[in-house]
Amino acid sequence: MDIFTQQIINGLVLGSIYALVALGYTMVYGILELINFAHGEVTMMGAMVALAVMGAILGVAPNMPGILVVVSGALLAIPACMLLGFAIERVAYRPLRHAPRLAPLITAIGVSIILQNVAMLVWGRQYIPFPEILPKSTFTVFGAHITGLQIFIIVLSALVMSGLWWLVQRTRLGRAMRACAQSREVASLMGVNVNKVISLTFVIGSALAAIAGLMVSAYYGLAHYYMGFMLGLKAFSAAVLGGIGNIAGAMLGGLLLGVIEALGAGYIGDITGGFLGSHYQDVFAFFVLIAVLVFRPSGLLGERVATRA
Amino acid sequence: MLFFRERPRISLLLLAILLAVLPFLTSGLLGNSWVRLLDFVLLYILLAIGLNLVVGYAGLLDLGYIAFYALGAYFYAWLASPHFGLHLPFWIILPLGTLFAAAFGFILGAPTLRLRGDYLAIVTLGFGEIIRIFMNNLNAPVNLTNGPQGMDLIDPISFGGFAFSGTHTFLDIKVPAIHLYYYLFLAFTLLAILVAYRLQDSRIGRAWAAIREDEVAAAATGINTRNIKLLAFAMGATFGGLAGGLFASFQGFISPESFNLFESIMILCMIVLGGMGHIPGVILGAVLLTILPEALRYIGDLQRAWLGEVIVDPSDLRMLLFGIALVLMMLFRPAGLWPSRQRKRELTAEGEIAAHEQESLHDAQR
Amino acid sequence: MHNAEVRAQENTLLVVDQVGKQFGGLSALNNVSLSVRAGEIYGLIGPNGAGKTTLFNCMTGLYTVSSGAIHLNDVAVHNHKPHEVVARGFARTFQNIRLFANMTVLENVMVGRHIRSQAGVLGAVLRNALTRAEEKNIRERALYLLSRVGLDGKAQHLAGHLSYGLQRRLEIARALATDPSILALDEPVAGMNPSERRDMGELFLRLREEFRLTILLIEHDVKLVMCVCDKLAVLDYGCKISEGTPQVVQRDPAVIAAYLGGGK
Repeated sequence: MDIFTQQIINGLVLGSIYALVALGYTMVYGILELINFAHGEVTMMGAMVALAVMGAILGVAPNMPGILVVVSGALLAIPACMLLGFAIERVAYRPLRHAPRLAPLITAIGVSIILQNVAMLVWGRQYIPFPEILPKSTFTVFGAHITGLQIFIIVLSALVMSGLWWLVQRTRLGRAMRACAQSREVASLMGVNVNKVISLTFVIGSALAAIAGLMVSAYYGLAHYYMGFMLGLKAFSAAVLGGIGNIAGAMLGGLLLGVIEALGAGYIGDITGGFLGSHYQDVFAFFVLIAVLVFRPSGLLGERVATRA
Repeated sequence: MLFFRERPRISLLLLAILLAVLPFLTSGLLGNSWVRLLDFVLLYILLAIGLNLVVGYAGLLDLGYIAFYALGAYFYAWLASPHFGLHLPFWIILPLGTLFAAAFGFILGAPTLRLRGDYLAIVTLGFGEIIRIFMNNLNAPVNLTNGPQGMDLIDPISFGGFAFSGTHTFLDIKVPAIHLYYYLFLAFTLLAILVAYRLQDSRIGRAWAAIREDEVAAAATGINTRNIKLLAFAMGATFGGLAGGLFASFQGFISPESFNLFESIMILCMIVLGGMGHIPGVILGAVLLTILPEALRYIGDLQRAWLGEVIVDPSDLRMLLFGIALVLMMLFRPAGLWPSRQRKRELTAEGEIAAHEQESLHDAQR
Repeated sequence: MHNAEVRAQENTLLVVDQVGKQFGGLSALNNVSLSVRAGEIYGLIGPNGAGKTTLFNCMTGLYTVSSGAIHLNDVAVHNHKPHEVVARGFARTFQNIRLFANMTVLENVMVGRHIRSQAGVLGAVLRNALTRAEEKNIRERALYLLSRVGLDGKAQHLAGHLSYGLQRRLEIARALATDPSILALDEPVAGMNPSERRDMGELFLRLREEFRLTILLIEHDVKLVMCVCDKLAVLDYGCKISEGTPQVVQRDPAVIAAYLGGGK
């Protein structure tokens, strides 16, 4: 029983990170109907920049309190990613908005390769460790262990997502975003500055990605130039699971995928009689994606059908 | 250029002679390692033509194409290496291997092809990684793939007792195995080109073009869009599986490392760079991008000469350049370096004007 | 007219039976029933947003119906895939022309022959006698159809480069290439001037004769509809509010109310 609880907790922690990244995919898709392939790489950049900043700070002031170091890392990584997201949209997507569908998809892949390799050139091929500066406290809940970091991740992502929800549902910008998601043409006729809304959507999504990137690297204790790829793929699967284009769906999909993955990895050995082991963890997201596409392409909360005229 | 265009027979003959003596020319001038490179150029042309059926003709973005290459290669290795102690002849394995790859293409395509194109892109991206994960991990509990170490001692291609290994002598001419593979790959590549051209100018090719242009209109015109897309996908997988089998026999050794995402992207780059949907362009793209990394090596030498040390590893630069090339091509020359007339119009707004201009030019000439 | 009256004695070709279509909570079609007899030119009119195109999309398999049934020659065609509906002999055009703009005029029509031809991958690659003969037939049939709609000499032009009116004609030729028994035209004369409209009207009548067609026509141009249609149905807010000969419909108070914005 406690193993089960443990897996659920682990799943929820990972899932809340997936949800943050998935939001970036889903918001962009909602408005542009474009899969922003580079989003996973933005997440990676967030982690890398934060770690670089933290390393620099620790080099100068090794005795600074850990939380403060992490916060300053985040405070630089978030705007860096926002800028990155803004630039990606401007350079790679906006000029192709009226091009055939294949074109922005290909630039998106191009951008994601560029980011990956820039990161590799700057930070090298090796794993970059997350400095051990955060307090290590563990609590026991229902026979399962939960660390302070895990609680922090869950609480922070809940806060961030509530903030986003408020932004989308209650503010002028949010209303403009929802209007653009319905129809860009009509929104622009109603006086919405569509280009600005699209830019801001990328910026907000990238800010969430930066936070998620930092969380992931803290959780696994490392960062790597290649980490954005799988994370992005999983977050996209989460977005599809929840119903792409749907913000609540991305949150739900993220959490659900995290739990599915944790339970799957925990029990796959038992289920397959030892044939497959936990190193197949990365496969689950993919099978979830296929299963959703086959049985419910609109996702759990989605209304739009994937095949549109 | 005009000379060759006006004398198609002669230029074809010259091309044939050039292709026939190319390996000897290359080994004489540049050494045998360049003949090896030539063999790889042909393999990549084969792959690029296969992926072009999917991306260029049917307009479906497949980002995990290398998975089919991997499936073909592993299939060959299973049936012609000491791993299972099987040593079947290549003319049995290659056709079966292509079917094996096509079957996977079918399994993957059937659920996803009824959805919008971008889903296919991401699903194939995932598929490519999944196949690699399985190849990496299927060494236990039953050892199917030998895991990250890969499989070696794969049989070379052999006709009866005549194996493509070591050096053979015909009429006092020494012919190393890489030369033989060159001719074999050349034969398959020419066949692939023929198949691609014929498909393009057929009922099936028209249906692909129609789907690429407007899927709804294609469906309302009586095309079973899902089946026709699935056909493109499976055909592409077939080419990939064939190339994979050839690769395994040529290399004698395969490991999951050879089949990473990078390779899929590189083949896609070949198509985009050369000219989507246009066979000569695709071939050009494959040639350029296979030779480019070799040329990049000189960047390392240059760094050493000028700066005294290698600061940026040229092989690290390669991927970055590919990424930049993808973005720049899409932004400034979306139809590729050598586009077909039709695709040029399709992919560029200016193309339309240019086409009009061209037409009026023709009118003036008349 | 007398020709049509003769045909009107013949069998019913298309039956739309209590068809409803909901989008989310919104009802776009409400228990619409029609029956179209072979050889008729049947007009479908109504204000914008009345559900005419939605009904077309339901008939041609682009939408699934929420309720009801559609039968063509006593065979159910609702909720079938578009290509299956085409195979049963139902062809259509689109309100906002949907040609394969970067293919030639000839290729566009040749695509229409897809469903009436067989060549597969093997045939395409081997290019055997059978395939070559089929290709020849496809090409000849396509050229013939082009000549029937007045596009002779344009075969090698790009579809996207044709003038608007010719694009409409090409779309009809492409639809005809599927050997339909019923042809559904969605606002085929929209944006044309009166003389072009008259030409198109004549074209419809001519095509009906030559290809033994039944034609379903969505149109706003009252003059054209009155001229060529044997029968009309009027849709408003997803409901059929009137049906009958043009003369009858024209005098129907419900129709007048719908068009003048009275009634509701």
